[in-house]
Amino acid sequence: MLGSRTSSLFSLMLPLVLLVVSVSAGCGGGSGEESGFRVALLTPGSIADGGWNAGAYSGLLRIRDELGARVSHVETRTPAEFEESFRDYASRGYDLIFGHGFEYQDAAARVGAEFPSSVFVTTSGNTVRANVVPMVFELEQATYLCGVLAARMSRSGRLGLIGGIDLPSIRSTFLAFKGGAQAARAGVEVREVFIGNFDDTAAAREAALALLEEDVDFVLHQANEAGRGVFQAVAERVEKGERVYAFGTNRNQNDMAPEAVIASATLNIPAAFVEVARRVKQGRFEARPLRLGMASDIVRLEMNERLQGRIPSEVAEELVRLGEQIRKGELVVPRGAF
Amino acid sequence: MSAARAGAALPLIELTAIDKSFVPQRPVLRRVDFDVRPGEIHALLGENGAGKSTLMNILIGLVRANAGAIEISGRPVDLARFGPSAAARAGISMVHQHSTLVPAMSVEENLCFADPSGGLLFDRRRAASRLAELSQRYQLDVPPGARVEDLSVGQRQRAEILRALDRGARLLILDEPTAALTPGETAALFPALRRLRASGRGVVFISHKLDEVEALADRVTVLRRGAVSGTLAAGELDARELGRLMLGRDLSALERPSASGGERSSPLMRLRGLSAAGLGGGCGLHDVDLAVHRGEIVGVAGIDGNGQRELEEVLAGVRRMDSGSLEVDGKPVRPHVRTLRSLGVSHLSGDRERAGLIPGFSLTENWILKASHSDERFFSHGLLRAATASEATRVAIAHFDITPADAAADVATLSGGNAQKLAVARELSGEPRLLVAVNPTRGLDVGSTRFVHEQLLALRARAAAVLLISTELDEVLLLADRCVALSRGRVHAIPADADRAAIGAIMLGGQGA
Amino acid sequence: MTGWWPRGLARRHVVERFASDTLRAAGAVLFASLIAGVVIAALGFSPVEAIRALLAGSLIGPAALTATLLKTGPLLLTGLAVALCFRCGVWNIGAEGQLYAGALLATLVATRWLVGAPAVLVLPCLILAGALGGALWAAIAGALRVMRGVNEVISTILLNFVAIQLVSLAVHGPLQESAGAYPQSDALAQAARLPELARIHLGIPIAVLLALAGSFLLFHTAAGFRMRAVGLSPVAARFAGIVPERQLLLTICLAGALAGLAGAFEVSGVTGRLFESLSPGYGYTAIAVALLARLHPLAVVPSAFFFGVLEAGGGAMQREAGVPAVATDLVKGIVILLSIGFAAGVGGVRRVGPVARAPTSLSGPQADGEVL
Repeated sequence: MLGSRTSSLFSLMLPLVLLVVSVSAGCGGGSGEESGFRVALLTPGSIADGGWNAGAYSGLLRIRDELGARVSHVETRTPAEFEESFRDYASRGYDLIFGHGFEYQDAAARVGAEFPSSVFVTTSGNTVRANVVPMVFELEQATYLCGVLAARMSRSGRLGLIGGIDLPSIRSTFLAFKGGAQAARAGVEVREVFIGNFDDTAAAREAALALLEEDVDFVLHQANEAGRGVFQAVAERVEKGERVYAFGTNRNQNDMAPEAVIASATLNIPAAFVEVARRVKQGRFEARPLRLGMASDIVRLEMNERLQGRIPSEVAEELVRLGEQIRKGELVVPRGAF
Repeated sequence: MSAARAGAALPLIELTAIDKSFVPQRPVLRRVDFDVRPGEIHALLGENGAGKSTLMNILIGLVRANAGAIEISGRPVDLARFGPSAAARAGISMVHQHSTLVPAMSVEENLCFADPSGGLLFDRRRAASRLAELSQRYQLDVPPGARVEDLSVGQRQRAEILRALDRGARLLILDEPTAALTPGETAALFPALRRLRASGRGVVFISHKLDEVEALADRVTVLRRGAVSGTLAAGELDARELGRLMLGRDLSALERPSASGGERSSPLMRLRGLSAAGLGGGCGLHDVDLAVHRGEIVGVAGIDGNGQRELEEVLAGVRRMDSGSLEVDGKPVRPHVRTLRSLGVSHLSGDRERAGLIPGFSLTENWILKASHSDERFFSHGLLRAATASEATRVAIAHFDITPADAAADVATLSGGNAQKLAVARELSGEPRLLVAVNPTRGLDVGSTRFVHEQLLALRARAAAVLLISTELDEVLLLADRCVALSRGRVHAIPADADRAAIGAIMLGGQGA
Repeated sequence: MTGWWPRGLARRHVVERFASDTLRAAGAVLFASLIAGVVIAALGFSPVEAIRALLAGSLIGPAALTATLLKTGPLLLTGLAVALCFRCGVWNIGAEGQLYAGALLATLVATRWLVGAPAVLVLPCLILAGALGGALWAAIAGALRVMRGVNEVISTILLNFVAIQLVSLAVHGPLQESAGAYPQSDALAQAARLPELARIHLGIPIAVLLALAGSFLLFHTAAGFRMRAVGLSPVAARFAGIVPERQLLLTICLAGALAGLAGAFEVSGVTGRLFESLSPGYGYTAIAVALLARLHPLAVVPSAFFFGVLEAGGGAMQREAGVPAVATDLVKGIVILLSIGFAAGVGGVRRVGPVARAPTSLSGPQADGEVL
């Protein structure tokens, strides 16, 4: 008495048990080992985000098409799910499993120890094991060149940086930008602002206007979607006849404000995935961070053709020369330790 | 008074020989005649359950009479056919005890809202000017633009009357309009009602307060057990006569049980100068003195809403006293549920479903409900002793013949009579020294009523005390050794030799015999 | 007399009710599968394959079962928290926030205060910290309700957001890993990790024991009796000498402690670090868990397991059947909706505590004098 609702306890179990029985009866030989190169991808969010996760997914599709691999994808939201999915793929014999974010490191290291024949690659991170490595995008190489370009062309000698959230990876690209600027022109001043998120366009615009108010004439953003606000602010000033410029980042954003964006530091995420998969497939895997930059053409500095004429020819030549040195490894740009 | 002037006109509304019963063979109204003339305030009096509400619901088209005729200005109508909105169009409006205005809107917006003459659009400006004009003419002050929820009870009521007037009401029904008002607000309401009368409108004024009826009414109709027991003109009003009409005069038919001769010297429980705040704008308690002795049933008679709830809650230990004292065995006690229980004071709630028993709990759980803090039989060392509890419940079920005889059944499945048996059995199980019983037979059939009465008398015979708070005078007169009346939060002594008429007058707040 | 066998109730009734509940449960699951199948087919995937993947990925084989159990743990504790609160008439929608608060305090203890301490010291402290964190977080809503009459539905929902932001702040600031690279806490030392057997950490059996304890509390103790009385009728409870406000505070703190434990167990038993996205909404699914269990603490165990199957199987559906995450979420949503409908159909009409009556009837002390 006193409330007794216990029968629901049994009643919940019974249909479940019945289903399990019926399913296990039907799937005895379903999951046999299959041959061929198999690649899986874990993303921390929806692949329909038009950005970070979408890039990884299109990389996965290119791996399927270009390398003839069998591919699978899963969206995982919590650390518990990371491990579960890594384990599931590894136990089913996947050759290469991507975890698309730093947060996958711990889970990859744990599961990697149990499945030595699978390779686990996390996008960024610093955990390295025999079969676990991070892939590190050297966007710094391109932002270094942005710094050089800005310092050479700036009239005021003041440059601006606008970040979303203060993350090590973002600080690192800023560090490279500053390095390039200082190398090109001693005494150049670089001011940086973090708006605290990646989607507040209005805040990014305010921050950019504030910098422009302080005579900054080149602004590079690392604020993802919020970066739109930076372009708006710069474009407004350009319309008033001022000679101010913005840089696009991560992808080619030259078209987003054709009169304001002078160049974009781009990162070809799909190409990076294909590159990594190719190395693993060809047995060229090494247990150290996979640095992917200008040498493999994954990171580039893409000029806005409309504004290209404004760049003095000696500066343009310098950029080409520096780019070549970076590709050959003769010039190592500064980057953050993370 | 203007009764004479109004007498000649055709009645605004006339009900003739109205019969109504919701259940066959149980008439609620029997051949009721009632009419209101233009320019008249017609008071309606009656005990709880006398049929006032049903009569009013027929007037506003909510309920259809089984037989009888309704005429508005001489033309027969069927008000219930189109419901309350039809009655409203016919100029009949009711001002309920609880405001039916939309709290989040201003008074003006409430006027616009569902305005029968208005179209689809709000015309706030027109409403505001109408409001200003009406409140000016009848001196019903309402702060313009204020939201209803910010208004006082009196202001809300005035707003409600204004809305009725705005809709062209010619007959206003006011259901106990002063029940929740302060004396000041009451004083302000009366001139407004007189002005309504002067404008030729009719007013039905439902009240239990004799002085108000005397001050306002041109005529008074008294209902008793569904029938009109009399209609008096203003000049004939007399407290004793009204009391007699309300309560009947068959006192001699009742026989009081013999007293068991408890000690008279020191009261078991005594209230001195008790005052407590009212519930929801109710009248509260004022300076109540009351004593109950061993072997005695003290009856507290009175009409609902005169402080019964507040008195019950103070004695049950869930309501603070603002002033005064409660003594048990001559010692002052802070009234708290557990303290009172430990002193042997038991409480049989007047609100069985909400406050007495817990629907959703089994019989056993209800049986041990009040024991969770103290009773070692059912709860020891913080644990529930389920076996003991259900055994005790089964014994009670058998002893009091409760059906279904299933200790594990949900109490909500019990009939009212069986549920009350369980509640009575529970309160008696600890052999209380004082039982506070509130409306112990409300809603029960004859058999169950008899059972409860026997239990109360048996308790008295065991030299325990009973304080019986009941709105049924017959019950009080049947059981009590001594009676008092509760009227507007004050206790009035009822002389031992008082007849029903006198008691009725005291209950209505008059001076009585 | 309670719990397992309702004494005083004819056996026949129990058997009948069991049979009818089982039929309804089976019906709900089958109906849900059918609708889900239609949705999956409409999206161009094989429904048979998808549902097979769902069940295979959550129930068949040790890895799948482990994945399910790891999700059952937090769902069980938060579901228990919700069930207890609803039983007492408290609409606690804040198990998610309480989980985060518990995880935060547990991480603080493990990575800042008791670094290097032996397991015998750090584990009990970490578990207590988790419970305390959740309880304190819940107590805010309880106190607001009792002292200021703030509706706990609103306050607990809002406190969820605050707790999640607090954790975010912590892993970007004071609790960020010493390396300072990523928004995550330092890894917990091995001494601060819950012992585990085949990756089933100690928190899961503890959660099951707590469900037993919760059932015992509710049906075999005076405190639980008072909680249920307040949940069904605060007015009658007050007339019976029970102080509803006290029960409310007690219950919501207890519930907070359970949810906080879930957070501590996640950090110490599963992830080993504090992350921003620690929970995929366990505290919200917990409401469905509690309702499906018809607020019975013991029934919360299979109910949580059922939702654990859905969570784990959802991933498997993506991995093996290629059904996109959006579609698996849709399927999960359909099943949750139908199973709650099932719970309401069985128990809601009769009584599922606050489902049938709004707990707002429990007036605060400022409402209308003292009672009613």
